[in-house]
Amino acid sequence: MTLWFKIGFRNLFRHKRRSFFTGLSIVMGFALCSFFIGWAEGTYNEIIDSLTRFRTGHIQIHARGYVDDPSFYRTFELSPVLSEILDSTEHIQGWSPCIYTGALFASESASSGGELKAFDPEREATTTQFQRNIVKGALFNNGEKEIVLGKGLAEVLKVKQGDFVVVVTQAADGITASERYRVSGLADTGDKTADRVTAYISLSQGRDLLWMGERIHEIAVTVDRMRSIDQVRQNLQRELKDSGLDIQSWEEFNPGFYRAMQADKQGNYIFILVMIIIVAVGVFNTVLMAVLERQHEYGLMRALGSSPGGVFAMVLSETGCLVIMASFAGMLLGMGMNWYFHVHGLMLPQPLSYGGITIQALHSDIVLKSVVIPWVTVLVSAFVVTLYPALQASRVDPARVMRSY
Amino acid sequence: MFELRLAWRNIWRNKKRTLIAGTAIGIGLAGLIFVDGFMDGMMLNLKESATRTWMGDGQIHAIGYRETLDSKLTIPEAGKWKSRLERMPQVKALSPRIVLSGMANSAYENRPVSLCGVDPQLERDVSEIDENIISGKYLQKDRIGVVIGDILAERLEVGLGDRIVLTVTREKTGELIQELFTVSGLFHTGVREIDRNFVIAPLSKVQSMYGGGEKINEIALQLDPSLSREEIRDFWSSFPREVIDAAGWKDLLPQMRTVMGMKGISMAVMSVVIFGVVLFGIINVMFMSLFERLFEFGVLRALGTTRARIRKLVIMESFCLGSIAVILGSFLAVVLLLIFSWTGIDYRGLDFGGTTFARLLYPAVRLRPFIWYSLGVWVVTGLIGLYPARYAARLNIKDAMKKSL
Amino acid sequence: MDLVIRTENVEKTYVSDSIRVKAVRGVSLTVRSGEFTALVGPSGSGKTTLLNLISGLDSPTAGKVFLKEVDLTQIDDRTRSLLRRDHIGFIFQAYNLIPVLTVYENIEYVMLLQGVDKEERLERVKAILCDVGLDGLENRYPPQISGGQQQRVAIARAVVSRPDLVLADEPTANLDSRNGKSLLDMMHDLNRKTGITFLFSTHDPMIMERANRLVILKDGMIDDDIVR
Repeated sequence: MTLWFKIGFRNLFRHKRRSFFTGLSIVMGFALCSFFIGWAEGTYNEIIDSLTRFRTGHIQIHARGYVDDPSFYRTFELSPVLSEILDSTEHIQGWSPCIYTGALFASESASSGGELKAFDPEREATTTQFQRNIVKGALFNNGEKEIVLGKGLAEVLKVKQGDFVVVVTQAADGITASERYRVSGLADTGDKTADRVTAYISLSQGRDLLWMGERIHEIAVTVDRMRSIDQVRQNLQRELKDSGLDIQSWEEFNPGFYRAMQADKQGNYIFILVMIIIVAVGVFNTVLMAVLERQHEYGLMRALGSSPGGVFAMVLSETGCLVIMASFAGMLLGMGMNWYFHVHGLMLPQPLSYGGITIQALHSDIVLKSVVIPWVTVLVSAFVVTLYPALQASRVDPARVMRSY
Repeated sequence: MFELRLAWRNIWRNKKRTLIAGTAIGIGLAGLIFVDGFMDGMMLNLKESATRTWMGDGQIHAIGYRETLDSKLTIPEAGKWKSRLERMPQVKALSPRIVLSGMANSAYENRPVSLCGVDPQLERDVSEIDENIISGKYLQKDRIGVVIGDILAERLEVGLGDRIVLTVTREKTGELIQELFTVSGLFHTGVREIDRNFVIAPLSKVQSMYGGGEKINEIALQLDPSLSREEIRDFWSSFPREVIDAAGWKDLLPQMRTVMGMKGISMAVMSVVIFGVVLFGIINVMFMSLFERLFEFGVLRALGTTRARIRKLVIMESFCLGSIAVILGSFLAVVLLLIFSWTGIDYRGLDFGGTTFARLLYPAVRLRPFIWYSLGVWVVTGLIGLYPARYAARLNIKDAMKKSL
Repeated sequence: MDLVIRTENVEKTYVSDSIRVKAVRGVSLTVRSGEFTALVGPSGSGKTTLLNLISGLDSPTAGKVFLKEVDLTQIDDRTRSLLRRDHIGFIFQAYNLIPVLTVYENIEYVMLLQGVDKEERLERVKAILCDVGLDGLENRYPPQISGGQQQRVAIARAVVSRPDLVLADEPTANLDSRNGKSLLDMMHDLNRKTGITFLFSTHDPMIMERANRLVILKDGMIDDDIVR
């Protein structure tokens, strides 16, 4: 067995240039495959993380049907039981309840329609940490009649910190409700569209304004690790089976973005496939050439008593050697590229909106996939492509071939 | 030319090998052409989604309006601008609008909306709201009804014939004014922002609510489609910047710039990658065909062929291979483009670059990518021949004729 | 009778698997116009190497080679190629012809290099095809004709460009005796008719018999030089 391997290995050096170029194309194909996978994973994970950890949470709990039809009246009760379950479930980092409603905001000089979100600042600090988005002033104090405006909304209303804004909306009993709040700060969430129409008050204020009692629209849940999302979701679904609640992870409550990402990933994989095909063709040509060249050699070996299987194994091991060595080199190169873009990243000249959120910089990720997938595809395609020439080699008729020498 | 004749016959000595190599390169070429068409189609789709459905080829505003969206920034001397624009040959259609930010209340819900007052007749020629009516009727001048987006209708839980209350602030006093309207039509443009936020009403009605007389804050334009890019640029820059803000869609959708820039980079990266991978595989093919003919090269040299002529011959061979690759690749590209031009690619509903894909994506089929990428592939394939050509030319005649394979 | 080839103490040493092989040692040979000469000797005697040195296909490690009094060692590769084109014809043991060129195209090749115009090429090719008995086969490709026919095409190609010298390296080695004789007759005929010098490297006793000069090589040196 090792004899075949030795011969196969040494044969590579008989034609250094040929082995070099074939090897080079494998290295390139592998490295690029590896890099593109790491890049795709990295950028998507970055976006997902950005979206979920700092905006929407990884899992959201709503009344049944709320995601498809976010009606103001689709509420659920934040019961002590529910709180208990959320507090005790493993891997949950934090959870934050909130209320949404449409409202008209009016300042002394202007008015604008928009959205009002009421949340519990203490709980919020454990999940999406909204307070990080405050660019001027501060988050409202719990219980105070204070409001935080999105940066764009503040500009439209021509107000600054310390000014007053009137909020007019429709309460849960259907009667118009209005209240005056002091602007405690301005927020920049990175989503320009949202910042132009959204304002934030504390949950208790929201409940007062809207006559909501213990009812809320949404609980955003963050987990400690992306990997735990499924587990947590399943746990919650089990515990809250008969509660009439929808417990959904980000793919489900933000399908637009998820679809965009999937579509992109598909494109990526098709590109990688094309590359691998081209590399495989190159390998095929080279191996075939090598085999045709050495017919008399194979004839000699057969005449000396080698079995067809042995010749077959020899050809395979020759290609195998080259492919494995080149793949190692390609893996190192690909990992190197991934590492570089992981640490340094790529800055976009202008922020780009994608699936509803804005991104500015992209980073690559170091994932197992970017090593495993190239290895598997390169090895499999190299193997498949060597089969035909190897078969040819083993079928060489010793007499015919040695005669012509 | 003799070398060309000989070169062409030489590459066909091994039909299978030439076809396989040509196909590998051709796949790369087809990939490039297709992706180029796909990205162009994507940008066109995004642009059309935005400009045809509502935005128009460009808009006129008062200075500062776009940054703050302050409805008080109405267009000065609107009447004059209107007639001036009507007389310009580049303007195919225009629609004066007043856009206010307000709230819509139904019996069940309230939502922030953009209330757009338009001249129903003029608006027909600029946007496609009238063509996207899915139930009910488009605005009629003498009727008091509004048309709203289908997503908005769902959120407000209203249908045809239901009533909604629209609240805006009056211009001078800042007081809130509310009016009751009947929903006389629903539209679906496919652009999420529009379907979710827009209420379209007759211009005169909204103007009277606003209390600003004949004031408008936006004029949307459709330009003559036969205008060249330079003519369009000249048109937009012909407006005095200190007096009025006139902007084409490129400025109104800054994200599109990023998207277009992305195409450039993506295609460049793809080209380099594909060429690199192809090249390293093909070089071996070329050397392979050389080695089979070493004795022949020796004979040619013995007969008095100069090194330069030998070089020329080999390079011609690689250009011939390039030609075959271009033919195969172009054919494959045409097939791919035809298939997808027929089926389309469904990215509908995805938000990207500031707007939504409203229609099926069709790849753009143009001659230019075919020409440029084919030329590039042809030249590069031909130039790879330089390396084997050098080798063949430098052959030691007597060594070549040792009948070594 | 002028000198076609003159070598001065020419030597060729090459390295094969780290062993120095002196293939040709100190050969001084002159060949005159019109000769029908055979180089003979056992395998390894340096026949092929000497032929390569004479034709300029290889360069000597010592000594000089004169082709019509032009020192081949002093000129650049391009000039050498042109000299070969104009003054030397070749007939190899096998694989003489370019397989993708027709018989006609193979024969006209050197004239193409020389820049001879189309009509004249046509004329001369037709004429030589008659001389070698192959007219009618212009448009066949080498794989479609027999070994003997291929060698005749090689002869046609070698002489049609009007060289001063034709070098033939074992031209009959792959042929049966009947074809071999036929070929030999043809070459001898051409030699007498046109005065082109023929220099063979051969084992074939038929050729040795027909030659009017035998140069016998042994271990890279001239052992004997017999003129008949």
